[in-house]
Amino acid sequence: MAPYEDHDILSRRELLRLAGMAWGAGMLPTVALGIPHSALPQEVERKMRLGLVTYNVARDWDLPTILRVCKEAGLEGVEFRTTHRHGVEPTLDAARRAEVRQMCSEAGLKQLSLGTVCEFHSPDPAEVRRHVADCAAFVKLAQDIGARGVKVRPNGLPKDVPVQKTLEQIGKALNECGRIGADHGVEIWVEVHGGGTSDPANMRTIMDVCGHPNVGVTWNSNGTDVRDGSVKQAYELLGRFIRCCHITDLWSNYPWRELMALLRADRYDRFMLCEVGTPVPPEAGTLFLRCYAGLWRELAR
Amino acid sequence: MSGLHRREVVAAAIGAGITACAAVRARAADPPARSGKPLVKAGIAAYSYRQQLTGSQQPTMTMLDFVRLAAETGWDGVELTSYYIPTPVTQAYLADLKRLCFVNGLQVAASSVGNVFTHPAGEVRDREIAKVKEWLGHAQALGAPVLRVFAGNVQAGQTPEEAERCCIECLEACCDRAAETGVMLGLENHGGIVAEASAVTRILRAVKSPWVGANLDTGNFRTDDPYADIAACAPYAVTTHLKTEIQPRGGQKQPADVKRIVQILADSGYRGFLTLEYEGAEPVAAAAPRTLAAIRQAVAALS
Repeated sequence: MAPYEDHDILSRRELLRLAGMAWGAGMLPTVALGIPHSALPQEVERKMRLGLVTYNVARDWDLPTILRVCKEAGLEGVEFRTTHRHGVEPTLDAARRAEVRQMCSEAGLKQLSLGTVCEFHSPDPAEVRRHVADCAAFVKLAQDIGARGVKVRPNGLPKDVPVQKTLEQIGKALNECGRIGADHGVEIWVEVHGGGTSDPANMRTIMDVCGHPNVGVTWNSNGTDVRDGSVKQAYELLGRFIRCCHITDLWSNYPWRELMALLRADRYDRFMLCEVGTPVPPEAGTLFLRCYAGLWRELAR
Repeated sequence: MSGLHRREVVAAAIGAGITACAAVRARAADPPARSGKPLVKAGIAAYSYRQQLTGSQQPTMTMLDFVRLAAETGWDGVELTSYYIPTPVTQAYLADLKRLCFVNGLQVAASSVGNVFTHPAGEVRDREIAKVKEWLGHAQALGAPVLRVFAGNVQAGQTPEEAERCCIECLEACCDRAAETGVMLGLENHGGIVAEASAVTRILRAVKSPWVGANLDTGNFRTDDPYADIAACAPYAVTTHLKTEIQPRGGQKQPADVKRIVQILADSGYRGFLTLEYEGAEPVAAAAPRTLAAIRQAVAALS
């Protein structure tokens, strides 16, 4: 079926990123990589796309509602957050996984992902192992339903543990998850999340320790990204790792246009996913997301 | 779920700050739901011909002349600005004006009144409310579906928050009359307390009535990012003024990007008038047909 054509190709941006990672953490200027623009597939010219994180707008929507509303509002991707009514969870049997895949394909979605709460900051090694195992289960689910990525996160810095130790622990766990994902053709996206761990410099340390090309970042549009009204500094630290982008309240003062300009300049051709904290009743979903998409298009132009 | 509940929740999600607090949700109003594909009709406001309609000494044009000229130019509709309707206003004059629009195939896109809604409770405020209510009746007689109203400036001794509260109370005081007449109130972003989109949407969400929306004015956001403000306000727009110039905060006036504005409206699902309210230096006789062509071109190019 392959409805998610992005899944099978590497965009120019991805090529650049992977090449950059391989050649010293992305420090080479892009012109030095020798990838002639004309040689790349047409798909790389596509622009950013808009999708939806079910957290929290669609928290109470069932799967058919999510698919219908996204289609009506023109959204092309969905990240299924765990524990929500849609029920896209590792507990699904093979038949239901195939059914979910088919439904999403028929709805015309171009990207799926799974939003998990797998987190790797605990000082308890057994707890970290349990989350890595959970992540593996989500990876398998992602593969089965045709999802491109599994979102994981850190969720803070434990007290009484040296910060560097925790960051390294998270990075190593992510590396393991990245290898698991690579075996199944599924990317791991770590969300810039959690007290202290959402600090862009700390997240950069985590990514440097991780060092696996199958692991990227989900930019999370946090207040901690912004310095003097700008996200440039945070973007310089994390931009090259971005595989997915959560965007929140577009009516807020967050420098949305600057972020989107930075992504555009980097030829980002992946998804920005609406992650608004207020649940919206299903019958109002299309109106809400159409309004959201309208503002997004202007900011992303 | 009741329509009101649905409206409240969407507004809570859409509104500036995405404030999920119950206090906001309990009072919120929602952008209007619209069916079908976006639709942008081209209109012209009588205000565009204010020099001819008022004149430095004597008017050279009547509202009836304006309607005929609008038809000749090819506009879809007209905004019948209250300022140029002879006083005392008579039902006979309004009927004549309405008839002339009708036989010329012009829709009455809107009417508009000048008012100040930031006064505290008292005689002055009562007069402003009475004027708007009176013009809701006149708009009904004209066949106008929406009446443009202003918010106003912060009054002496007021805080901005108090001024905003006064504006909300004044709008609320007019909503019943709006419902009776079937004429919506269109709050224009016209500087003062509604200089930014967030203030417009905050006020609209606070007024618990489907009879209030935005009269979006594309030239009145003198903000850092006027196009973003236009886009943020667009879902609430029930009618829209097109200005031919736009001026970011601290910047020079620049020609408005009509194509971009039409795309913003379309992206918000807008279905209604884009009405030229001309304030440029060039004579309106030359600017109006060219702007009409630009609107038509932009609408034709919609993706």
